[in-house]
Amino acid sequence: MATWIEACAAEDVENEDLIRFDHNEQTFAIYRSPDDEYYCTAGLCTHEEVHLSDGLVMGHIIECPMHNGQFDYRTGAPRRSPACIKLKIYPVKVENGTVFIDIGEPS
Amino acid sequence: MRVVIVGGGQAGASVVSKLRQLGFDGELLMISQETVPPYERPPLSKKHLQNHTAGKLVAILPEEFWTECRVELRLNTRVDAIDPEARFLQAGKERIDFDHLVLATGSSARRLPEAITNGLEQIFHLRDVEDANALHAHLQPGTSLVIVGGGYIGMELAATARVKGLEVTVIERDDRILKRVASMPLSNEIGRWHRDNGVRIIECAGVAKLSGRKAVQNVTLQDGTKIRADIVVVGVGVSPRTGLAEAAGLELHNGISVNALGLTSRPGIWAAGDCASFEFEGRVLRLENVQNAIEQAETVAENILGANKNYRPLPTFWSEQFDHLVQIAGLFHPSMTTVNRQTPSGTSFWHYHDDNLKAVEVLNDPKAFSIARRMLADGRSPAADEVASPDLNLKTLLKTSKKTEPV
Repeated sequence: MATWIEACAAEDVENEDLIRFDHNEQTFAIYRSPDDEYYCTAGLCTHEEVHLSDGLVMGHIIECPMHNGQFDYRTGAPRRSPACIKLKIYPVKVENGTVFIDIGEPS
Repeated sequence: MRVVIVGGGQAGASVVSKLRQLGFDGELLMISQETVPPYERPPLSKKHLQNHTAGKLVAILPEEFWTECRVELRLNTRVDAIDPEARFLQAGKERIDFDHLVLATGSSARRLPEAITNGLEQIFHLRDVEDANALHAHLQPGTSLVIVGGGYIGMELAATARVKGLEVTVIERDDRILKRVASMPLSNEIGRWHRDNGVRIIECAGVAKLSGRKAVQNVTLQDGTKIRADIVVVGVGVSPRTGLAEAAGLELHNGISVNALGLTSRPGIWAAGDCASFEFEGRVLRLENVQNAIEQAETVAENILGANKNYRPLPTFWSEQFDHLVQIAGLFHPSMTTVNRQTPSGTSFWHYHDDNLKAVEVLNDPKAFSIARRMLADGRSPAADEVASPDLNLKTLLKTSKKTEPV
């Protein structure tokens, strides 16, 4: 079942960057790609539970700040060791300048 | 084709997983002297000792990897000899043939001479899970711990033990802790964290002897100072495990010599990780960190399959002590010029050779580190005065700074 929640204002996330968003003990990462699309993944790296919000977005890749693991934040797919487990991703929509994420059914 | 890996640490694990990831379909055999499949070593001096639950190690590869990816893993197995001509290993009575051999034998903790330790008990090292388990039982509040050697293992252990309530003294031979692996401002900062937390650090001090009845009781320094010790941990660096390679006649140079591909002096025999030394930008390097173990090993895997790819390391390293995080990228050298960047989010030290950025050390600011590492990887050198200015955004500098040769 879809569970849309308000995450942040669209302008809170800079182009080619990400921010951290916490909700009910869960932590998420909200991305804005170079082409101004928004994406959302689980907030912690699947390797050692580090906050990805401290990492660097380059194109469509997020690089974990601790151990260099990389993921494609659009699909959650790991792109570089030591990351080897996929990141959960969540549907995103932007309405009237506000970013909403659907935390009901991650994939 | 059959590829055999000797060594069950990070480098060995990275070779086998990369080979399968690249679609290698031949036989894979890993031979390890350890009792458990490859696990992450960095937590051993930190989390593993802090919240210890016996046997709870972080496996590098998921349990199902070995069967799903058809990798035969032989634990508790010692290789006795390599025949590089006929391409086989001797392990006890068994002969194991190989087409390619990867030596990922790692390194072992250096020991103090017997003349100093006098065969006493309660003297520990910290290299593998057995060491960590043996040490853990003794980390009790009030215990006097003397650590010989102010390197990263020694300092991480000092912090872990201090948090657990031990009385901790670190003895360093050089005039500052971490001299071989950190810049002076970083050493100073880390030293300050320790002193603030009640760790005693004695620099410029050699250990003359350890004494006691059966177990160690005192550490005597060369100037005669006597320090009470219930336990002693020796953290005076590691030596590459090169015995097998040496006996087989492979070239050595403070490690098993490999070229940029990761190939030793004999065809079909490769080496990666702590045990391998290689020339890079005019220096012979042997890197003792996870990043090198992964990336050099993955390059070897690619080259076994014919990629012909040169390894260009961007050393990265991290350490956690008390509530602080240190992250380092690049290769620092004392001849470099250092620029200090101080922002509300954290402190970092930027090291230049001429106008070229070569290494960055970052304290408690992972975002700055992510950007600095990317600059080094891309060969970008932001101007020193811009880095020093806290008002300039690093991400902007990442995009505008000039591109030089990659480090």
